[in-house]
Amino acid sequence: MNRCEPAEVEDHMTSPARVRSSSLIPLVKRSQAPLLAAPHYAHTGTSPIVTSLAHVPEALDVTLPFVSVVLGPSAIDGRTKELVILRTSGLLECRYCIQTHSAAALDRGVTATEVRALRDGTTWETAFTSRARRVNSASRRSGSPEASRS
Amino acid sequence: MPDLIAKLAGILPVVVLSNGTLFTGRRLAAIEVLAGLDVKIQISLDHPDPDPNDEMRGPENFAKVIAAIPELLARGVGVRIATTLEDPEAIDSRERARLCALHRSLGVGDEDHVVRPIVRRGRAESNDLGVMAGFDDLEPELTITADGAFASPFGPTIHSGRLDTDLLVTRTTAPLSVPAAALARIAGPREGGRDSRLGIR
Repeated sequence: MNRCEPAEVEDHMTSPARVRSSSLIPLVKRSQAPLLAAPHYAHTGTSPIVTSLAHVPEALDVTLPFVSVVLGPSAIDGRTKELVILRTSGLLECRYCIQTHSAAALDRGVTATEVRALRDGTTWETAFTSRARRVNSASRRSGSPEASRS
Repeated sequence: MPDLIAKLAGILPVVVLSNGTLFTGRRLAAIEVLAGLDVKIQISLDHPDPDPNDEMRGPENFAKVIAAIPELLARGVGVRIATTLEDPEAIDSRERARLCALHRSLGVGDEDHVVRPIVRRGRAESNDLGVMAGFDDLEPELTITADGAFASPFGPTIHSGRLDTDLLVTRTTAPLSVPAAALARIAGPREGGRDSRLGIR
């Protein structure tokens, strides 16, 4: 596999040409943490999931347990989860999720070539095996706007 | 709005914050539904003289407030006067006596006059004024705005062009039970009496 150093990938992946259309929301700082969110800021290095969801603090207590289960240990390995998440993020054109999960995917062993393909789908055939392409098909079905509306 | 306030007053005591400058004609008539209910219109009056009062509150504020208060009371609507000062302990005793004589002459008793410090939020923070006050320093008063439910009327301030969210309870405002339950859960474990230390009301 042809792997890039994270810094090189980060530079490439966040270049303006790669930025998608949806907007980024500012992350809520500790000093502005709403009352229900404040306990989640107790530790340093509060996750971006918390600091973004903190805009709607009542969402934290119901969302974080779900996220924890989804991203935690399970029969599906972390790399596969990130393949699905990043491809879904690419299909939904969520800039925040694309940027966050590009880094997360690299941490889980996804290559830079694969990350690029997951983000924009243009190098799909060369980046992935046939098995991974089937995962993409599943992501496309669940992440497409049509699917969201159904 | 008056009908909504009347319904709320049937459940809990209600304090309505107002600058008191628009109670004339049609609005005075509309507010008569609040007569005799457990409602207080809280109006700011910082000084017994127009000029020092209007310096902070705006031109003609003093005259409009002085005119509105007796009109409200005459219609059976309760009024509370709030005096907000940089340092309430430093007020000149003669000036305070004149201020109290003024509110009594308007029909507002001492039990409905509160003197409190400026809270260092919003414009006060931008102007380097007031005392720092966090959630524990403020009485929990569920405050509903277009941006969500806050734990205090001091919550929904703007700083550097952005809404302050440190006193935000929930974005959900309806049903009211959602933010009310959340605020009760947050405020429940607080140390008793802590929120009266700074005298912010």
